[in-house]
Amino acid sequence: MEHRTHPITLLQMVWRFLFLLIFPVARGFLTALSGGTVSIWLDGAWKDILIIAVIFLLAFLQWWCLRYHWEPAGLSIRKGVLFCRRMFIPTSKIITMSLTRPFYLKPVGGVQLRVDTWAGTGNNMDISLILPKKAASAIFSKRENTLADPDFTPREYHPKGLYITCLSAILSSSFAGVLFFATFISQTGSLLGQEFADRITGTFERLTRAIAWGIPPATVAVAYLIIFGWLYSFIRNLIRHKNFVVRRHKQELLIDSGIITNRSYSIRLDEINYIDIRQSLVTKLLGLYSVFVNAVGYGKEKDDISAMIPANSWDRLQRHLHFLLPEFTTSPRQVKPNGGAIFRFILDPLVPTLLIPAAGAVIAMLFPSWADFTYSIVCMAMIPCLWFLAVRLLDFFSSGIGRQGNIFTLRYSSGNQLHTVVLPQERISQIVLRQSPIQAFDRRCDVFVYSMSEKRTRHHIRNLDVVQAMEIFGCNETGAIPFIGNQKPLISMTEYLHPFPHYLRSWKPFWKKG
Amino acid sequence: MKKNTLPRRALFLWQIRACVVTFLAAFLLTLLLSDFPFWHRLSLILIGVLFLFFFCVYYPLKRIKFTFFLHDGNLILDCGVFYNRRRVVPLDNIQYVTTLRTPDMLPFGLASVMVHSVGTSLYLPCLFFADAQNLQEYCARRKKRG
Repeated sequence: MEHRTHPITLLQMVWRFLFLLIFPVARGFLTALSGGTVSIWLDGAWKDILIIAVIFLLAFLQWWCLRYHWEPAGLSIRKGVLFCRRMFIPTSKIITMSLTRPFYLKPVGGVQLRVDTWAGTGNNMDISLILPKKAASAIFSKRENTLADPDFTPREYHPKGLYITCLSAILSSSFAGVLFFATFISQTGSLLGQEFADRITGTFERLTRAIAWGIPPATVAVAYLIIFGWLYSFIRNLIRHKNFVVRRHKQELLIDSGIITNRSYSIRLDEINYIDIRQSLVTKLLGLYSVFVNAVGYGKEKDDISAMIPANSWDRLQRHLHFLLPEFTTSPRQVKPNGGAIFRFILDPLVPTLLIPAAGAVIAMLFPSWADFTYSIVCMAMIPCLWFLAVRLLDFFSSGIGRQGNIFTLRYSSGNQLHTVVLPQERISQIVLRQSPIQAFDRRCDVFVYSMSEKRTRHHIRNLDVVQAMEIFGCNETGAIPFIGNQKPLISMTEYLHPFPHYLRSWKPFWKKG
Repeated sequence: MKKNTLPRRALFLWQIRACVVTFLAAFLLTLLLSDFPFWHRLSLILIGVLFLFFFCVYYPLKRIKFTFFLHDGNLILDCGVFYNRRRVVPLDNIQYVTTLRTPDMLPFGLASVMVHSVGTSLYLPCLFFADAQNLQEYCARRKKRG
């Protein structure tokens, strides 16, 4: 039997037709321009009321015609007033199903049910419906029963509050917070009046002057903005990840979290693309690791959860990982960059690290009155550069590729994060070995591994031995099959690239020994 | 060990394209800059240098370095001119293959192939039309079996 979605969906539908308000607005504008009075405008008010009624009527019709039905075979949806559209998603194709209970839907008992498959775009879920809590929970538990196995004992993992705090700190960025505060301060004037906005700006200015302690107030203002921005982001992440629980069933991973907005995810285990063990510079120093899961529909939208194990030491993490996902095991580095590759790693951060102080010195020389301010800004700008440099140095000592059977472990850095990606071979979409002219003399190459995903997901491992990289991915020329035609053989890529091919040594990977 | 390379006529086609583009650019520049002799000559020299570079260096290198073969369930493609690239696409993950023929490819019996995998794609330019069809059919047959 088909059911209708929660009536709150009507508001969503109304939002779609709000553009029709352009007509009442245009009418008022034209009346004012032609010198009309309020009474003239009021005479035609029935037209505005009619348009508002049309908006609500269209929204109501759309809601009335939107129906869903869950059956063991899949989820069917019917929508459209004039053009009726039917959609059926088989259960076997649903990779991730999630329930989100935002604070604003709690009083009306609404829950957002989202479903995602390999199809569709990489930015939005395939299906998103607001349903009554009871109906949404019933669908969620029916899917859970489909994937459950009575012989398999479910496993549950509750991380400690401290680890959740660590994860929130790792995920927090100043940028989002600064953006929020900048928007808040700039929009205060238009929303609450200029006087109120001036008062906030004035208070902020007095506060920064009072606690400047000899540092230029402008620098202190920037620093406080960054700190408060980070704190805001941290608190949001903490609220999002509170009550984090992971449950492993035979074919399913269930994840719950959140206090203000509750989120539940159900991910099919055989559709997990890879797991990503991440570290920032701080967590590296603290010896903590966080595990993230990459699957279609998980962590897709803004504010979604993407973690699986918040933050743990390596030994504990291995234990929890083996407990929850024994299919994904890390392996030691077997292919790694050579000692001379250090410049390939540190060149990117080294350039701004050297240029910024030089530029600062030049500006201070040209504008002596701004010297103090310039030096303090240079000091602040140097922090992310040195941070990046430290990350790249750590990357140099840890990056590489490992293989155990058909499971690859890719270690690399991206931005200020160190990644250890555990990726099954069947989840690799494309491998690219890229060799620059300089690397060709050293028979090194950069390896790009594209994993299966709705979006383009790339893992970049720098400066590895080209022969070893080919060997580990099984893409060297030995035993190649000519595909078409009957053409003359060419020399191998390695021979072609290397200026001294006779120096090429044979390399036997240790997983093939014995 | 045998690998598949691009036919000689692919290079010829690229060189013809380079000639046409250069001629058009030179014609337009003459039309627009004939009143400014210095800039006119400078731009023509630049175009000439670029043409010689593409005609004599870039396209021949591109053709020589472009090879592809099958190995262990993977389609492997070696390409690149200055940067050397080896692209490996597992055949099981290929979703579909499209062939493309532009009007200038028709007289040469050439076709380009685009291999679409999950989240990525691979472009094989200017193969023999029969080879392009073979590749497309091979991938389709393999997909059906899988």
